[in-house]
Amino acid sequence: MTPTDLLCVADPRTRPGIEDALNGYLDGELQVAEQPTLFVHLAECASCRGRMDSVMSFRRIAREEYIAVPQQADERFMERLADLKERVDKVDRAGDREPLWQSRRSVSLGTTVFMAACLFVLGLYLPRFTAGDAAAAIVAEQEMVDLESPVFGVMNTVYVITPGVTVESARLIEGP
Amino acid sequence: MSGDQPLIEAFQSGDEFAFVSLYNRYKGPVYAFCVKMLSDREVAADVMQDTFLRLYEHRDRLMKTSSFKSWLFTIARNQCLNTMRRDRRLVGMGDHIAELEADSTPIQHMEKSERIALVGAFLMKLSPDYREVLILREYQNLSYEEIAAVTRSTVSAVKSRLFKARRKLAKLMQPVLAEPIPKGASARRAEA
Repeated sequence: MTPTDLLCVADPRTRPGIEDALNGYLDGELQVAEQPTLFVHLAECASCRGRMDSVMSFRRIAREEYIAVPQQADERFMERLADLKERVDKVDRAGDREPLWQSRRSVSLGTTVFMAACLFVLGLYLPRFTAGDAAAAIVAEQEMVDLESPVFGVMNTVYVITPGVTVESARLIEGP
Repeated sequence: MSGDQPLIEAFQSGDEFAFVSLYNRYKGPVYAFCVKMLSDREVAADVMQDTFLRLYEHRDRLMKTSSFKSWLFTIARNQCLNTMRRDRRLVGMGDHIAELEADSTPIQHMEKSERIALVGAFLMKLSPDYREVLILREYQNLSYEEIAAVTRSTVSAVKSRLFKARRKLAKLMQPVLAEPIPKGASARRAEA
């Protein structure tokens, strides 16, 4: 690189050369052998000097600033980390559990009360059986046997089953 | 940073103290990066926390020490960009900049806090693309390769963006770097 390659950052024709050299120098990437050429140019060119001064000033001021993490941020982070760990642990434990149908689980009081309330409400809407309904149901299933009429023959076995009456015989003998 | 590898290995094998050590080591740089990107300390603290929580969740992706810092800054950068997108926090200090610029005191004569505020305001005037490379280079002292890893681009793209960012920054800085003309000087010049 020669001084003629480094005319000025303000000149669009030569900007890439000088800009690369200037930025390379600012970032510690410019070869030592190329530095004198840059310095000669800077001594002659106010525009390039201004560019360099701006970046150097920015860097100096940036490094003057100390940004400390507030203590509340640390505390909040630890809280959030604890929450995260709890969630992760829960997920891990769920994976280790037996299938639902092979495990016994404790049920909370709230769930128990809720289930009881549900059953109660369900019970209110179920059809009710009154005494009349029950009698009608029994009558429907009764087998009417006329015991007044004469029965001929011998009955080996008689079964009486409530609520209806059933008479069974092993054999029937024809009457006279 | 030296000595990260044993901590990373311990952390990957489930050592919680190793994670806290990594947090204590890198919380400052990550927080400073977020503060400069977002110009809001409260939001920056949240983003810093999110960054380390993501690190904790995705510990299995950690591979080697050389990329740890880049990986951490990549998470922080993505979180910042998401926050900016969500909150539309692209330029957050418009009024403050105008106020600072109206003050004709050269930067060399300003109080330290004023200088820092002015430079921060100039930074916020830049687009996030330029801002991030300047912060990573000038505040965090990352190399071109590390910045390329953080921004998921090439070294030549990083150089190009950094040069453009400096060009814009210089334009903003130059008026406040120049010594102002003392009051009455122009009048005396006119009389002469």
